Amino acid sequence: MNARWLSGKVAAAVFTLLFVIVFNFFLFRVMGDPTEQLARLPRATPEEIDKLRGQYGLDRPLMGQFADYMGDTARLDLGTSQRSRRDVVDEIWDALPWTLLLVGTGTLIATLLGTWMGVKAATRRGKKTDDALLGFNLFTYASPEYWIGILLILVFAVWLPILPSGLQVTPGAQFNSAFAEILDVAKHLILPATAMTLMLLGQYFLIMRSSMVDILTEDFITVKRATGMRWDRVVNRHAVPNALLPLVTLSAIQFGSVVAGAITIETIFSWPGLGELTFQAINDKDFPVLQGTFLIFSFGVILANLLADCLYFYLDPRVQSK
Amino acid sequence: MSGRQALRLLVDTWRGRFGLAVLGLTVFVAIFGNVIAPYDPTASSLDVLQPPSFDHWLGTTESGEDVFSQLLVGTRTSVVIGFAAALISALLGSAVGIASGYFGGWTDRILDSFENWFLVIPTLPLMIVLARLLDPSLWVLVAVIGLTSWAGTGRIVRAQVMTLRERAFVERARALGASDFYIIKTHVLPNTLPLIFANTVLIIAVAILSEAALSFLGLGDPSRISWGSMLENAFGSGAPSAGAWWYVIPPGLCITVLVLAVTLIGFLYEEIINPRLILDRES
Amino acid sequence: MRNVLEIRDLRVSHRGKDIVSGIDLNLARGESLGLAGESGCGKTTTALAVMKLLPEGFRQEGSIALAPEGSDEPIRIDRRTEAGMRVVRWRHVSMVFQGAMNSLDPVKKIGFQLEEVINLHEGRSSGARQRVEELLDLVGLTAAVARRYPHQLSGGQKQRVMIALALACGPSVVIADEPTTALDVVMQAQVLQLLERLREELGLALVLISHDLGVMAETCDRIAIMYAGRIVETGPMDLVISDPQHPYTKHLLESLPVIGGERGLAPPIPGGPPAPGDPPEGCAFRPRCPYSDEICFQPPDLAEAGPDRLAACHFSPWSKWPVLSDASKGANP
Repeated sequence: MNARWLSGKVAAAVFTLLFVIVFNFFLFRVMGDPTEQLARLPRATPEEIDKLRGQYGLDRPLMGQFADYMGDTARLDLGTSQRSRRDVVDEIWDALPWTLLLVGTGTLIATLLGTWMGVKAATRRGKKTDDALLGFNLFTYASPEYWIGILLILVFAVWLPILPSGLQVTPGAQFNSAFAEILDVAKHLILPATAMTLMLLGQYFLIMRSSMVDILTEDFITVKRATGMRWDRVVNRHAVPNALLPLVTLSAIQFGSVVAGAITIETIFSWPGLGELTFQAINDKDFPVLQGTFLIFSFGVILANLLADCLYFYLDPRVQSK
Repeated sequence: MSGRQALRLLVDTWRGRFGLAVLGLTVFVAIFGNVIAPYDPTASSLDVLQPPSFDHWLGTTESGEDVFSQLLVGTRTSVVIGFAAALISALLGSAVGIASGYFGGWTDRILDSFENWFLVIPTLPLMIVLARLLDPSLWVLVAVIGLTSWAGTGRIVRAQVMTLRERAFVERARALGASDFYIIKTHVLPNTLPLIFANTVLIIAVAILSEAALSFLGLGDPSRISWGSMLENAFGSGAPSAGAWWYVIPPGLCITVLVLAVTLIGFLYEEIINPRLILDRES
Repeated sequence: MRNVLEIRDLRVSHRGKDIVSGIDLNLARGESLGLAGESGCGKTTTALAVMKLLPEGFRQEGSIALAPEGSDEPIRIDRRTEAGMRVVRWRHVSMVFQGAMNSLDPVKKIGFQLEEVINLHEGRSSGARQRVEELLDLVGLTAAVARRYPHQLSGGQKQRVMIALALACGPSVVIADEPTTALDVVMQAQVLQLLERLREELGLALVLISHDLGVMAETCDRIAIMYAGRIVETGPMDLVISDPQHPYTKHLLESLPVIGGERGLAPPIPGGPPAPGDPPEGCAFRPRCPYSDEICFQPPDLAEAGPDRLAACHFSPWSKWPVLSDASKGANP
């Protein structure tokens, strides 16, 4: 891989991350009144609040606070949760795997399914299959993912009670084996992951479909067909790899919506990930946690963008030789 | 694309007609919702979580309020926030995009990195933080959504203006000594407007969904009913587990249909400008 | 069958309009035939019909028979299904496409794209890699090109790759559709010479499609001129050039730039060709023809106009072309 290209991308990502960190500080310290965080303490006397202000360094000048904040962030010290009194980093660390599991499963299935359906629709453009796929995907594209989640609960946990309506494991269950535990988690994962998939599916489908429609009009597709190649080989070997390129770039822009989905879907299913943590923090006005999750979400999206860039670089030889 | 052509497009395609019909109905309900609502949407009663009946077409809520009335009254919040936020987003995005694309140089470099950051920062968490820091009200929500969703428009407008800037008629105007303001007003803006319009229509969809999500997360205006806050109440009161589909389905369906209508119109215009995104069959 | 390719009464229509309205073409073994005409006259449509590659919505009728070397019975292309065509395409008849720029898959290496086609028709384990090197050498490229991506090649190199691709499976007929339009003048000459040399060496028959008579004059044995979906004149190249028998041919020849010729700029053909599938009544060239008369409202037949020559003009054979200014009254019917 081209080292100069990569280092440029990494530098840009680091720069963006720095911006987010600085932005994060000003967002919470300048726009929000920090004492509001403390007013949550029941019947706190003015002296106690002053003491706390000193503890948090809030009585110091802004630049001093900023320096402290940058230092703390560099040491991965994101403060203490006001609700649980635990380190925000620990809270995030506990929640992260669950979010990765949910987001990973949802994204993986949505990418595969969306791409596949997009190819099917584009190669049957204007036919019944295309219309049906288009209708279904436009609907899921337009509907709020948490509403889809609620509908899934309604159908699969209430009307046909075959799947759990929330949480990551059956509460209080004792498992004989690790396998039984994994199976239980998988069972709990089905509905939230389906909601996540349905949320992302529409975007991937629409992008892949229009990208395929576009590629299929290219000259080289006619040339490949002229060489006597089977149509499905022309599609799979030549059209799809080219059509994937815009999908990679455009889906990178959509990572923000993955985060949005994590927040609302985890809330619906009481899935103990970063989204649930965010929702709790909203309700409790737990600003250190909110600040921490905002930072980790931004970091996640920046990292995902960087990975998408690398994937694009790998997939498109035209970028490599520039 | 003239205004007349833009209207024709809405009338001549099934997508345009669907979008127009839904939009028209929604705006009507947004204006007259309070008048046509059969009940006071906040009047509780003892008929708690009742399924649809002749008295309550869409059943009742957990505190016995009429779901149908709430739906009608809540329309206004979604529509006002959706349109107002999209307008702010469009103005901000166009201003930044035009400035960055037209002036180039350092202006562009600074505005473009700003745009890039806003594109990368996940929008919903940012909205959540802003909405939580400020006290939620209708106009706070409008501002929060408008200020966080302009970057995409800025990016698209910038690209368009950059190509316009190199075109002969702009170069000629500049050579003749026309001022930047004049060139932007007479040459750049008219040629960018269709693009801004198509984009704004799509942003309306984003804004409606954002309002719903924020309200659903409890960050909406507590004094107003919206489709999102209805979903919040329904979910919070355990309506799904009670099997109260009449309470859960309508608000989400309204959001979906309105967003779908707006999205279809947006795609329609985007296709005219950028024929690469073809949704329709050949005709 | 004496000829390697025989087309009889080929008609192609799109939404009820005839794009190609009944043409006959013969291609002898090892012969090179030029198919000329302005854009939109149906040249490319004819070529795609021979390959059965017309896009959806196009209908083709008429017989197309292909008799490759050593085959007992001619292959009736018009009766082949899509699956049946897959063994005919490239194996027996291949094509060099217009627009070399986009004719190769941009994300696959040249070597892969050549090998893929060889493996497709000759089966794997056919020493495709070896063959790729030979092919590249044949068209004057180095073996290193196989490891390149299309965007790393120049337009001329790409077109050479396309020629190598067309020859990959040893076809009897190669159709070259405007193979040089996208290239600069120097490259044009090189690619044409290459095509001509390969045709002689490999003994294949070539159909060269172009709007440029100059390009064909050096390469082709015979020529067929198309106008509005019909063939208006056909015959041996040198005879047609020296003594055209259709006013359209005459005009095409006159509009060629003559280097060192007496005249500076040739007069352009007045008007433009009719929209595909919508020719005027009678002789399609009538509205633009300076010699047109009452009789031209009747469609002319493609009739004998000399030894081995046909022309679709009521006045052919022309013994002497009238001076234009005298006949120009007919230009505005």
